[in-house]
Amino acid sequence: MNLTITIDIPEDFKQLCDIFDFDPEDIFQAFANKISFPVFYSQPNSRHRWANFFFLDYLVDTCRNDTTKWEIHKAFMDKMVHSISKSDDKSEEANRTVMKEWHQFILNKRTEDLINKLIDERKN
Amino acid sequence: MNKPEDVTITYIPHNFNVACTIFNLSIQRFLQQFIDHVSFYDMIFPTEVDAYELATRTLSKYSYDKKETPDDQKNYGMIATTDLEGSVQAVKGMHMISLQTGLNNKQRREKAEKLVQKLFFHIGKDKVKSKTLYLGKDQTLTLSPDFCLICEIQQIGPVEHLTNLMENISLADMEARTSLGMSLENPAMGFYMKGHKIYNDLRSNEAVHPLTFNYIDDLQELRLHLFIYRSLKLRVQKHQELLDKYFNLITNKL
Repeated sequence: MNLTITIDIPEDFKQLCDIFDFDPEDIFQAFANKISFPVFYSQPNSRHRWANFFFLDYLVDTCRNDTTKWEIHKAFMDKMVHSISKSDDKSEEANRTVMKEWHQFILNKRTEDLINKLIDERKN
Repeated sequence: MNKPEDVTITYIPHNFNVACTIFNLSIQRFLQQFIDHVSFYDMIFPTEVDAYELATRTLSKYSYDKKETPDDQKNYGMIATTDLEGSVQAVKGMHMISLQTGLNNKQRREKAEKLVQKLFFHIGKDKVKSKTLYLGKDQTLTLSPDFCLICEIQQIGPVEHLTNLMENISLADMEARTSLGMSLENPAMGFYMKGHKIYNDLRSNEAVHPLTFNYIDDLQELRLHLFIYRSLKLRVQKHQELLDKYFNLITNKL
């Protein structure tokens, strides 16, 4: 999937890109390539972990004051934990299956919520 | 020399030992600091949430929780005093101190000191057999009048109180509960966490073990790694594994 995004490049980041002759776009692409729960949780010590730690830190930080937010995801997180605990060669594959189910569930839930909201608005 | 159980601490809970070892805190000095922060004045006239309030509340909470246990109701009877009128006057004196304006908490505690000593002098010595407790073979703890007085009023022995303090200190439990938003009232852990200043005083010139920094690095990663772990039990287990790993490394290398 291609996405055109607009980002404000901070001075310090631009400075580093200039010094080392990097294209900021390449760095964002490399970062995005490494973000993967299936890989991170099946190979927690791989070099991919730093990008995933950044993502997790962002995730935890944005919802720091609302731990109830995770309730809806809990069943799938538990499945991931169960899959990791087996720690066999098929762990990454099993994690991908859980992620697909999780993704589908959340998309369905959002659609359902949106439809209910529209119905409520029409009633009012 | 044989020492009776009520003046000797023989049991050091593992989690407490880990919490002290990882940050190079002397158990003896930590327990002495705790004793020195227990304040009878704070027990009856609560101040701000600081190390004194947390240490004192650790004793109050344990006493309250214990009273809630039906089996323990029988242990609470009348507390003997040799001078009832004098004791009442001492408590009234503390009340007057609490009403005085322009005093900070430290000054209020200091002014209450003599009254605490007077109260302890007149109260029965049922639970505090000695002002000195033994820790292991060659270490001692000195009980303050405030600590002794509260022990007598609550009818709970000093060793029992200190054991309760130690049993409530667990870094693994705190990490897991905090991250899941499942914190419980735990003034003992609060006292442990409260003051880096107290820690620095405790450590004096001893540096923390170099491996402590490795622990903190690993801890930061573990906190994020455990994001998908929503079970308290599993999170505690994972934190305990990390703590035990560093506890073993540090204790083997000391």
